[in-house]
Amino acid sequence: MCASNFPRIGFLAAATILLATLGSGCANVRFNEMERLGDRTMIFDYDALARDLHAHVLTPREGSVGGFSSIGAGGCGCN
Amino acid sequence: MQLRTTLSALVAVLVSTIILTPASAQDSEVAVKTTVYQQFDNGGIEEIDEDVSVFEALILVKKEIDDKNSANLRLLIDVVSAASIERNHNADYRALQSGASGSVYGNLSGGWTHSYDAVDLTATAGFGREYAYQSFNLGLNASTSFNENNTTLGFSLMTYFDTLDMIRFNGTEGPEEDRDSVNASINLTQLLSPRSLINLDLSHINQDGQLATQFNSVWINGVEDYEILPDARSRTAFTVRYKHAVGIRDAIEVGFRHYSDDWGIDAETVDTHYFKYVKQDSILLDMSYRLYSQGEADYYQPRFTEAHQYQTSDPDLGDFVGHMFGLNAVYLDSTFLGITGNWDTGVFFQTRDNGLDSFWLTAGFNHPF
Repeated sequence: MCASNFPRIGFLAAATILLATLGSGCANVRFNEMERLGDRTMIFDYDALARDLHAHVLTPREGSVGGFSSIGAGGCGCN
Repeated sequence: MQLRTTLSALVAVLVSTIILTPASAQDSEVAVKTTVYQQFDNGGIEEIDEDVSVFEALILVKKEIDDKNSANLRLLIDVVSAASIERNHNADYRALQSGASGSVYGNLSGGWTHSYDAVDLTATAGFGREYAYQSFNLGLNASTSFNENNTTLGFSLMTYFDTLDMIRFNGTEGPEEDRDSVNASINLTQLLSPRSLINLDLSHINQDGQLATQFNSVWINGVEDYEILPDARSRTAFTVRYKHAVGIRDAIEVGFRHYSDDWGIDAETVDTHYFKYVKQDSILLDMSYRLYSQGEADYYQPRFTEAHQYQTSDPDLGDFVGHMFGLNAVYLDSTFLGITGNWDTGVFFQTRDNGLDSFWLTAGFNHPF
């Protein structure tokens, strides 16, 4: 990553993720409490194919990219 | 071409492996998603027709080879893609603004996942081809869980090597140009309670090469000219998503993304979902609303009075606000057309204040084997 082009929000976000990782040192949920979290409604991007299909529709029509899907910049005849 | 040959060989090995290896677990699946997409030109650029119709199909075959390895193949096909310069009403080469550039687009990619004791590693490779460009991509991602599976941390690196045929809006052609993109992201999911969890994602993308869309044009005092944009772009997106269980089986999801780049675009996205089981939990509904707000690029003007070093009139790089509404239904463990699995269908509508409204219908299934 190019530091000169990496905006302040990037550093703040990186710091947030780092702090969240370090701060999550304790397990909030025991194994026997995870049943509800195993339902498909509680799994981010459970249907990854549908997620990517939506991203393939939206991403070429917007100036932004990243975050909500695995579709990134590139691989497209658009900007 | 050496890269192309290598990637073709890798895909051939993947296809052979998937066909010849017996499925060993329930994680193997075939999934198909299709969509019909229509954009209406109720605004945008006055001189240009931006109506677009797209049929898209996405096919995934995933096969678990053994308890530590799985392989997958993905095929994406677009028919009558956005901004086709072959469409009848563009016979005078007045190309559509923005979007992909051909009437048929195909992309085939393959991936291999290996599970180590603490880390899952996935490598992917793919090739795409459309009327006016081709693309190779290579990717690697890793994820690991710790804190008694309360925390999952992932890293992803994706690279695209695109080659563009420089077919301009007026039909003139120049030598091929390259566009390289590197996407890097870090992703964290943390369980907060037995009924809630949060996901953080930071993505950074660097692009260089021909970043203008070759067939886009701008209007300078009534005269059509090329779109010209810088040959480098640095883009960053930070996303936070939160899920919370509601009632016995339902759930809500709220997501926010902030995006900015060095072309001057800032964008905010709010994405909300309500998941609800109905009909004795045989159907899962996903009701969604997405708010998207984008500021214009530094080089954007709807029309120009003089030539600039960088110039674009692509409405997708302008400022606009979009509201998207969606309803998706998944028919769980149902049989249709002799195929048993999870069938789904959905309808989505987006309205934009720049007049480029759109809707799309989706249908698909996934069948475990």
